[in-house]
Amino acid sequence: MHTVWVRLNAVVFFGLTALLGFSCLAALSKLGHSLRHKPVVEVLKLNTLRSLKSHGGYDRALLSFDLMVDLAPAFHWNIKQLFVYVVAIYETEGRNNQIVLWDKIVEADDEKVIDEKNVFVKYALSDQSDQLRGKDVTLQLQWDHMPITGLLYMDGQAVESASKFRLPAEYQ
Amino acid sequence: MDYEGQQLAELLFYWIILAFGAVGWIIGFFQQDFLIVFQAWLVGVVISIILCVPDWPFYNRHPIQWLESVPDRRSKVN
Repeated sequence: MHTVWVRLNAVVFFGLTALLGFSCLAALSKLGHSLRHKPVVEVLKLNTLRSLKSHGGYDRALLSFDLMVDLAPAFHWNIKQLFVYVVAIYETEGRNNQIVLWDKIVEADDEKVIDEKNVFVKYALSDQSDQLRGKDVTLQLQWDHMPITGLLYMDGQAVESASKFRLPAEYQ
Repeated sequence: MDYEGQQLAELLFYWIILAFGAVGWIIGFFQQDFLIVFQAWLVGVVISIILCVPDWPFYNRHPIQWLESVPDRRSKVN
């Protein structure tokens, strides 16, 4: 503390340590927030099945969906953004498959109500082989919370309340 | 800066940063906006740098009392 540089060093790094402490407190202040405040997915359902084709032995379906959800309950002062994505869930030979069809980043300053009709998928519903025909597919909305400080955590629509549809038994 | 001044400077920036940060955190918590915490913290750090880093005169009010210098022994012998 006897020279200007030693004092400058002491002030800056004590300040940064204090900021780290305040950030950790902010993360702790919202522990368990997602248990008490959960966005409700009003609508997430198939709008139109555009195609179901075989691409060299691998099945691929293209579709569009309707989505209506208010994500505001998931936000609080320590959330920077949400990564929201639609997952198609189906079973093949007893195995559970989850495929991301569409995603969106909702930042803290953005409009938090997503209300869109006939949204075309960003990524095709592709199977690893030719198991898509006649399958029951569940569309589920999931989201990742990206905090300013603290741990990333995930949440999603209850699978039981998610809408289902059946893919046609023949290619189309 | 004398020893008393160094201690004073350390206590000053310690409490200034903590006080600004704590007040900012409480306001930020109720406003649900972390930017307020960061801004309050930044104000505290800038005030601390202005107040504690330069050698202001009030840090030199307790100058060190040095002992009288010992006379050179050789000059006595010769």
